[in-house]
Amino acid sequence: MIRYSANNRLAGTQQNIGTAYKTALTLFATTGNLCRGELVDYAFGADGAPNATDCQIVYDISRITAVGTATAATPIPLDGVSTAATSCNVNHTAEPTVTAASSLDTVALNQRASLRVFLDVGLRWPATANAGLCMRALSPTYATAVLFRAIFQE
Amino acid sequence: MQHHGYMLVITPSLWGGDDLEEYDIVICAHGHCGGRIIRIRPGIPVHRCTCCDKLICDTCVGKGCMPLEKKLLEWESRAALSKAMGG
Repeated sequence: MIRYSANNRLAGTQQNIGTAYKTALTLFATTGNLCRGELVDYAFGADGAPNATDCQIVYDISRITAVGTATAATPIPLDGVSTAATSCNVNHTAEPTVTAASSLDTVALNQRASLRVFLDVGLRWPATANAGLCMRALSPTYATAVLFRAIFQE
Repeated sequence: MQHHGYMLVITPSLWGGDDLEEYDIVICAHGHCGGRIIRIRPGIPVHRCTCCDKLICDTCVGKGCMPLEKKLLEWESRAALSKAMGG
């Protein structure tokens, strides 16, 4: 299994979050190169100056069935040579289609906090076209960008 | 209990330094929830499936034994059928 890294600073322009979920990064299987994937390491946090009013940011990882509109990014192979079959989109301007009640991890953090998760058995997605995971955030007050970093294997 | 991962939450402290929260993590073994993360916290019980004896989340309790692998195969089969039918 080869591991790849992706984050929403790889391509496109970071989008500011708001009171509705804003997706920063999606990983999904693509027609013609279908492959199961597994998210094994992720980290996220605010990527802008904290708001003067202390607040929370709610981060979420959910399943998707359609990819929305975003900038394509090329995942970086950790072995330096491989090419990922999994596709990666970052900095969505139109949200992907998120499966209802499919949140795999949701956490509310202070705007100054960050989180890292390492997994041995990861969050898996099927080898189905446009099926995958989205990493998104919202905040009632913080209105700048967030940074998601994902390491996945396939 | 076999842990599947580890979570670290870092919050800058108002009094200097960082506040750290650490959790062991298990991935739900069932597919009803899609295989979500379960944070292991002291005093909070984690459920076990009475059939496969693996750790499951609150959502999957009482919904029958559906391994995540089986759910993934189901999704893939449904997509393959849809494609074969011209969908």
